[in-house]
Amino acid sequence: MTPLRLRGWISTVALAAPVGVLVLGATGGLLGIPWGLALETLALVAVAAVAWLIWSTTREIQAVRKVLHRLSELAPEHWADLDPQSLGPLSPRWQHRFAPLVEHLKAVGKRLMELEERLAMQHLSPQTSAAEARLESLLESLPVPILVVEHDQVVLLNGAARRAWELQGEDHLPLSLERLGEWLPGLLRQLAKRPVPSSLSTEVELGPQNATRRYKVVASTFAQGMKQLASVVLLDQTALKLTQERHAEFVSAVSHEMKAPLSSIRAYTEILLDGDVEDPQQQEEFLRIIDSQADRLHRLIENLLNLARIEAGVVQVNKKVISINEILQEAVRLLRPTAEEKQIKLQTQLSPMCLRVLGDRDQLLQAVINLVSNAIKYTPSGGTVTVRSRLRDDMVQFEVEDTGVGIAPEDLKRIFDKFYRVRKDSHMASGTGLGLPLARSIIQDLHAGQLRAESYPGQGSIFIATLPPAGKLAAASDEPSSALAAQSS
Amino acid sequence: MAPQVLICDDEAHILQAVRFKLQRAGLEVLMAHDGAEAWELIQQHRPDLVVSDCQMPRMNGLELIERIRSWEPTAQIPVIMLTGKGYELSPELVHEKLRVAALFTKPFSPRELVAKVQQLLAQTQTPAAH
Repeated sequence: MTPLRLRGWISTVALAAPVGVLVLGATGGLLGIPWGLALETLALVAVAAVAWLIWSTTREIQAVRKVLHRLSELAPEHWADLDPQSLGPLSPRWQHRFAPLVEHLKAVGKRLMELEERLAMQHLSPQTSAAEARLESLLESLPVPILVVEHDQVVLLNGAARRAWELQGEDHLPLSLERLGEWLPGLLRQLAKRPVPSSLSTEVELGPQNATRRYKVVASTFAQGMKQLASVVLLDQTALKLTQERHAEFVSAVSHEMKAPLSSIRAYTEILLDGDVEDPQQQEEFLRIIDSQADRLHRLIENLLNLARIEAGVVQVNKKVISINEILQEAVRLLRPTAEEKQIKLQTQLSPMCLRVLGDRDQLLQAVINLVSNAIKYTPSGGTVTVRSRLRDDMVQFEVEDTGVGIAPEDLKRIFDKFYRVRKDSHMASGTGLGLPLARSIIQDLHAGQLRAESYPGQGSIFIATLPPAGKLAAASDEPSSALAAQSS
Repeated sequence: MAPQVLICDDEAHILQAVRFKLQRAGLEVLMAHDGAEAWELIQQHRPDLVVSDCQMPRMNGLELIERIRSWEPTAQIPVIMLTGKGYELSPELVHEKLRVAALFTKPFSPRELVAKVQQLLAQTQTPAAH
C-alpha cells in the first residue's frame, strides 16, 4: 500500500470513529438510554488508537526516506555487494518491497565491474588485445567450424560453426552445450576424464534434413593459465564419403560388367568339356563365342586402364595426321557383329571430304567404339544407330545417333561424370560408368575437342564430337614437319 | 508334351547356352531379351518355369517377377533368378516376397542350372499342379 493510500485509510478511521461514537451517544440520549459514560470512554479509546496509527506510519515513512537517501549516496562500485540490511531498519513489508530494486542494482553493479576490468586490461596491454583481435578474425575467416568450451558453456564460436549448427542471431555467447546437440556434452564428459591435453573424435551429421553434412568431430582439452578449456573442430567428410560411396558403386559396376563375358566363357567351356556338342561346326561356333567374350573382357580392362592413365596424366599420346572417316569406318566394322546380334541396323553417313585431324589413332578409335557400343547398348532390337561425319564451322564434326531409350534430363547433365551411372530402372541396361567419361577424356583432354550429348527420353540420343582440323593444329604443333610429312603421304 | 521353360537375359550368348542345355534335357524353350518381351510371352504361353536375369533394359528381372506373382494365372510359376550381383539383393525380397525358387550368381554353371530346372519341374508336376 502506498503511503498516500495509508494516510487516507487512517484519516477515514480517525473521522469515522468519533463521529460514530457521537451518533451512538446522541441516539442513546434521545431514547433515554443511560449510555453516556460508556460511549464517551469508547470515543476516547478510538481517538487514542488513531493517534497511535498516525505516529507509527510517520515513523515507517521516515525509515523509508532514510533508506532512499542512503541508496542515492551509495557509489556504483558498491552496488554489486549491496547488503539490504546495511541500508537501515525496515519493516518486513518494506524489505520485501525493496528486494527487486536491490537485486537489480546488484546485477548492474556486477556488469559494471566486468566492463571496468576489461577496459583496464585493454588499457594495460594494447598489444595483447590486438593479437587477440587478429586471432579472432583468423578464426572467423576459417571455413572449418571451431568452438571453445569452458565449464560446459561455449565461450567462442566462429562463423563456420554458426552455419554448421544453423545458429540464429539470438543465440548469444556463452551458449549452453545442449543447444549444439545431445552428443557434445557426452563427448566432452568422456574427454574430461583424461589428462590434459587429450583428444577424442566422433562422427556426426548436422544441417537441415535433406542437406545434412557428415563431420568428423575432434575435441581436445588444453590449459590456459589456471583454466581448463576444450576446443571442438568439425572436419567436413561429406565429399570424402560421397567419393567412397561412388567408388564402391563403381567397383560393383565394373565387376558386374566383367561377369557378363565371364559367364559366357564359363558356360560354353563347361558345355564343351561335358562333351554335349557332337557337331564339329557347332563346336567351332561355341569356341568362337568364347574367343569373342575373352576379347570383350580384354576391351573392358583396356578401358579401365586407359581412363586411369589419362587421369593420372601418364598416358602416351602418339599424334599423327589421320582421317576421321577411316576411324569411324573401323569402329563400325568392329562393332557390326554386336549390332547384328542385337538386330540393330548400324549405318554410316560419312562426309565425302577427307576430314583430317591431328590425333592418336588408337585413342580416337577407342572413343568412337565407346560411343557406338553405348548407342547399341541403349537401343532395343530393331532400332538404328547412325554414324555421321561433316565439316562444320571449320571444325571436324562426327556424331553417333541412336533410336534408343534416351536419357532423362537429370541424367544427361551427369552422364560424362566419372563413376556416374544412370540409376538402374527398367529402361536402362548395365554399364561401367566408364565408357562415356573415357570418350570425353580422349576427345577433350587429349585432343582439345568437344563432346556433348542431346537426348529426348523415348526418342533416342545423339552424341556430337567436334575436333580441330589437322591444318590449324599442325601449324600450332611442336612437330610441324612430321605432321606435314604425314599429310602429304 | 514337354514342359515349357522361358529364359530371359539381355546377353544373347547366355540365352543361347542355356537354351542349348535345356533343349538337350528334352525341354521346350522360349527366349526373351528383356523383361517386357518375357512378360508378353508369359501371358501368351503360360510356361511351366521361368529363368530370368536381373539387370535388363525396358523391364528388369525383379519387376518381371513381381508381375508374374501378382497375376493369378502365373502366380504359382517357379522362377529361377540369374544375377551378376547376388549379394546385393535382400533375401527377404528375393525369397519371401518374390518367392524365387533358386538364385544363380554369374558366372554360373549351365549344368547345375538345368539340374535345378528339372528338380523344380518334377516337384510341381508330380502332384498335378495344373
